[in-house]
Amino acid sequence: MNPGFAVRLHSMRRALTTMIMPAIDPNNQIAQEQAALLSAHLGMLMTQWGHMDEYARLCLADLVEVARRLEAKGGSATLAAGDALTAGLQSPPRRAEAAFHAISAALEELVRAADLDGDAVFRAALHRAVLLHGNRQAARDRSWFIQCGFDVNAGELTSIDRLLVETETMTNG
Amino acid sequence: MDEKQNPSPAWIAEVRRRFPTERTIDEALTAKLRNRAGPPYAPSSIAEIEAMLRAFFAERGADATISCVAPLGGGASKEQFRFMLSTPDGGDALHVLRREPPESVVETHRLREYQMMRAMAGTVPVPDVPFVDAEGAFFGRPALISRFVSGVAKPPGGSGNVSGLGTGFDAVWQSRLGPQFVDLLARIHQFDWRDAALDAFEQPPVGTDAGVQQVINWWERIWEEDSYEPLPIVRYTAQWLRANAPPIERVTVVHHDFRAGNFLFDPHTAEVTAVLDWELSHLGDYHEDIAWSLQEGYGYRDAEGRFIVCGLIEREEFLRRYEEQSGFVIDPRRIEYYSIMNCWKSVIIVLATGIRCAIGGKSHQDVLLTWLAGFGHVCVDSLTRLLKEAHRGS
Repeated sequence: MNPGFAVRLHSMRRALTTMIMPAIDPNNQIAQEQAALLSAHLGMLMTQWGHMDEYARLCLADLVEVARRLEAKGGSATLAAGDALTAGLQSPPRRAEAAFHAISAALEELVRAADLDGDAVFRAALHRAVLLHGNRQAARDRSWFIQCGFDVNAGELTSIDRLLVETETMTNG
Repeated sequence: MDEKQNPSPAWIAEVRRRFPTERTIDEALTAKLRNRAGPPYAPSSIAEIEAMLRAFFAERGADATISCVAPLGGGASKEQFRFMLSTPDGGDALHVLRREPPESVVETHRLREYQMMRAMAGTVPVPDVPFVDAEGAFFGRPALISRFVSGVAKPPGGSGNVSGLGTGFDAVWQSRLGPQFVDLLARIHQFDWRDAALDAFEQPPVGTDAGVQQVINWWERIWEEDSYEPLPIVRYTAQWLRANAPPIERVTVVHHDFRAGNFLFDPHTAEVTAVLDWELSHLGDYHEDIAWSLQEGYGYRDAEGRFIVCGLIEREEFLRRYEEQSGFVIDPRRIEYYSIMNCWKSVIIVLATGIRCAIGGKSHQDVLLTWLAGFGHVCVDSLTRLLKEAHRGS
């Protein structure tokens, strides 16, 4: 375990910025730009790596909560997709990130199926749930990737540390 | 490895059947899928690029000399190399070779870009595009060659993120560039395309939503082909867009990526010298373009809470001036509709195609694309808020 991620990422970034970047041909614009992006990526990884699992568990907990409340109604395609989602919830992959991915896929498939033969009331409830969950997940992911600098409303975001307090609250009830 | 990373001929045939779209768009997307299992991107050396350029011009019987070949930075989607083309009559002119990587954050057809840029010359400032290698016969992959145009994409000393996003313009630059920005968009839409050489493009019918449905097919197909992490909201949005598609009442050229970062200007006179990045252009509803420029992620709110479109011009002034310059009425409901569609497309570009490129190591800008993905979550957030405001459901 020694050296850990933090010190290795730190040393990589230092090598990049102090030795490698100054040695890049100043006429090679794309190489210069990509080196700067690499440095920025390493900086973001330094912030994120220690929270990866907690963050994935936070996202998963919210998604599971949404998916559990859905009771698929409609034709055979909708019912089959609903059954697949239920099965996925009962035996998700062990890793939180993989479980999030698998349940999202099952939910996306249910949205597709409900468009084919879903009951109208169920479809409206499903769309509302997907919309509200999408909004919450986007808010989390904006915080997670805030260092990218694209968010014109960054001031309204919750910090990653604060988000992870939410994880504990959700996990511990 | 998921099926999309090595799609079978049957898988490709099925996705083409499910999402019919314009012929040349289908050609570009199908070529992408057929090449997907192929090798990742490998940079060509300057000597290799120079040799390809020599072979290209020799084939055309041009007694030309190639020199000063150098890679250009910037663009997220295509490789770009600057070079000097010298002819025996003493003419020296800088040119730009724009070549597709094995996969790109936007998969487009070089013939469409070539035809549209040539058609728009004289209407708005566009780089002259004398050559295209639409099949990649000379450059290994499809490419086009344009004349180099002087200018900058952001003010001297100005800030900005990748791909022209978040470019900072102060009040002086806003007053010099903002009106031009609107006027150029109006001129693009006023252009009479009916007699132009645009046979790579299909004309959507007026008075129906068929052209809009075809655009939805285009982008939902891309989601189907490229998405890596599922996003139920993307699938739901496609359904909402189909159910609420408005008819096209007037067919215009749609630039499709008209924003800061996609035009050059003279840093001394502030005159716009070129409108760039025509690769996604098509024929459609002008509201699609207006809503693209209005996207929240391309602008900001000032101290008074006013939205500054692309960091260049206040929203109400943008809309007022556009109507005045174009003579076209802006329908707020269509702006609402196309705002949702455009957010959805942005999500697909950065969170599906961009990531898919990086997974396969397919582009020259993978490290930029994984950075750009951070913008995707801002777009998902905008998308969900716009859908909630629309309150219509499907």
